[in-house]
Amino acid sequence: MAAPSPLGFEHCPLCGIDFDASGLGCRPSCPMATGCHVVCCPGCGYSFPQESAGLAGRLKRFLEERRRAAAEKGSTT
Amino acid sequence: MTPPPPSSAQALEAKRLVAPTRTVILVGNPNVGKSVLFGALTGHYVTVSNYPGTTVEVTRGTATIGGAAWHVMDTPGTNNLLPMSEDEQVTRDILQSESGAVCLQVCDAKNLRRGLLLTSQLAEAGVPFLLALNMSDEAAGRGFQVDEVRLAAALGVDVVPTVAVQRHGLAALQARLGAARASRFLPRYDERIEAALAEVAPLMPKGGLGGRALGLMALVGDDSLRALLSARLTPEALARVEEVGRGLAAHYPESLRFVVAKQRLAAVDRLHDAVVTRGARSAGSDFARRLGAWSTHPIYGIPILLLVLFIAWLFVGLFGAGTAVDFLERTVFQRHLVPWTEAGLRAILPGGAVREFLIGPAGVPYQQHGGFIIGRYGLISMGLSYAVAIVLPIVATFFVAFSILEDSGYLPRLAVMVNQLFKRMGLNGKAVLPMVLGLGCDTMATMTARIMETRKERVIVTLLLALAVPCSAQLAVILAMTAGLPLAALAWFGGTLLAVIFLIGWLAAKVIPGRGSDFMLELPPLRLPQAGNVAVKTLARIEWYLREAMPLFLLGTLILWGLDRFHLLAALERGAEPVMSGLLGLPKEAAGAFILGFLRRDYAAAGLFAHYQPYIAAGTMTRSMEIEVVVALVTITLFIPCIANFFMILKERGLKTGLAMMAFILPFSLGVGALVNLLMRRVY
Repeated sequence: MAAPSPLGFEHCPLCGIDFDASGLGCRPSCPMATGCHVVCCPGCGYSFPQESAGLAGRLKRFLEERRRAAAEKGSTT
Repeated sequence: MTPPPPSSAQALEAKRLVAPTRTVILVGNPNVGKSVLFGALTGHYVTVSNYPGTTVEVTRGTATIGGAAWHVMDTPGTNNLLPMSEDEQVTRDILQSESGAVCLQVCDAKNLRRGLLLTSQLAEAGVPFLLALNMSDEAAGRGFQVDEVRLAAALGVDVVPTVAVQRHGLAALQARLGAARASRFLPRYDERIEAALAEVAPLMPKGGLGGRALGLMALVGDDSLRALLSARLTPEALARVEEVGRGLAAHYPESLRFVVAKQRLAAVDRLHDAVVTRGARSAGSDFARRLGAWSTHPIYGIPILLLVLFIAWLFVGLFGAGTAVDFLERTVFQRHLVPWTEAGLRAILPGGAVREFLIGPAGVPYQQHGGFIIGRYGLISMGLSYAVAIVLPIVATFFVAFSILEDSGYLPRLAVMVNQLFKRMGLNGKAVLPMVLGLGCDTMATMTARIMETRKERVIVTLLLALAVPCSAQLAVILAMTAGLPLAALAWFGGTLLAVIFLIGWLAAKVIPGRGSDFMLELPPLRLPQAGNVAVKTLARIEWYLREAMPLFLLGTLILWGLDRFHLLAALERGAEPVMSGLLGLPKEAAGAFILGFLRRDYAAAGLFAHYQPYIAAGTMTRSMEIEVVVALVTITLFIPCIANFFMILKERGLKTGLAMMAFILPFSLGVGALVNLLMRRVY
């Protein structure tokens, strides 16, 4: 089994747990699944739009890269 | 199919199966990689059977560790040894019945706080165990640094970082399993609880769980333990335990289960903060801790909740529904986009029937003709205009407010507050969770109704969700519309909805047999929202909204256009007039909005918003119009659920129940609307 992709990590805004969203979306259960990016938290069941996909995912990765670069810059100076 | 005869190696393994000398029980929260670790330890020879008297599956196997045969048991994922579900009860019962076994707790290193809550309960139970910090690579990748040495010292047990899917750390786990020992990490409760524990713990029966853990379960009134205590304690001892529990409970306004969980969480928070050196901490400051406590307090929490709602209402109602809608609808769509599109199409299309079909006759305002693209019900002039110029600015501002609530950690506290309020009205505590989740998406919250224990409970929760819980998009449009109302009208709207929820909830609590259960939710830290996180969350919700709602908005417009084109809309409006005008006191055009409410309820609300928005903006709303808005909002909020939720109801509850619910909701929503209309016209 391959390790889960870090790109699919979600943070549940209700119970606060971090989980790998791959395979944990509500999509298989929902009758209106096509094109829906809502995921369900395995801890509490709260459903929310996936933040690691689409434009939001790009913005998230961009912000994380900036944060990481700033942290690395801070640690070298 | 007949299995092949066993090879000599398999026969040897089969012998090992029957002769294990020690038992190790894998415990852990759901989705922490427990089963992967179980597979890595045991190989292929496993048996899966239901735990006696339940439908919960327990997997067993054997492993050779350090030259000795071990019996390995994989328990269902559990968050709490004070059971809230059948799965958790099975795990607790296995731990109690397997005296002399050792535990291997598998914990998700990314969610250490959640794992430590279970660790603290294993420690209280006196069970020898070691802790596998699984998914440690993912935790490190996400910036969590767990000081394993300090954690092991604080717990007094071995802590091993693992990556189960890659078998990292497996050898270290196997090497230390034999040395598993009881933890010294014992959360201290307040004096009253400690005194009660000191009295009841010695009375508890011997078994896998120690007297302190069993005593706590008995004190908080864990029903699932009653059979064991009745069988193993003398009637006098049992009566004494119950008396001490009742006396202790009388000192606290909340349930003892809640008090114990809260005090244990405080001890776990201190340990978590001491060992997690980066990443999410349990609270940013003393002030954040205090504010967090106030926001769930039964009294102080209410003004905080009202303040939060008021700020959100101002932001969505004044800025979103006022400034942003005004600009997009009047300036962008009516002044530029619609005329430009019409002019462009008129220039490129040859004159004739096709052009007239698409954009209507020249010189006639688009509101007065039935053009397919530009017209009264045109795809751009109405469908796109509703979706982009009216609903989008409203939901976008609401999503900003909602994302701030989510990122600050207030949302779960709101859930706790609502739970406390609902329980005071006699509503089943567990029923509140799907209703809170409905604020995200009613369709998925309907699926969450599975957590209810009986079919009757599931039906009632599904009904409450379909009836009275607005999803985030619908809530946004409702907030926007109420912003144009005076406070008295707003009170009518809010009061009616609350009365319906509590009346139906109260009736449900009366109808449902048995008592309600507690609502347990981990509370993440309260913190200042981060601008980046809020931007990501808002963008994700807007993308979701555009992807899901836009096609349905266009489909709805197409339906309206078709009905108008074939003169069916006027017929429908005439048919619905006795209900719309007679019963609800609404203009006959509102019939179209209600028809589209089945596609999306926010679309229906948007139709009503579009009708009244010019009067709200100009400040020319009459008293009669205010009544109309309240009646329309009450009816549309209680109206039949959207198409996605309807399909989910059919899927989860079956065709007959689903249709029966619709048959109840439709006349009920119209009936409540009619009653509000009647009352407001007399006393408002």
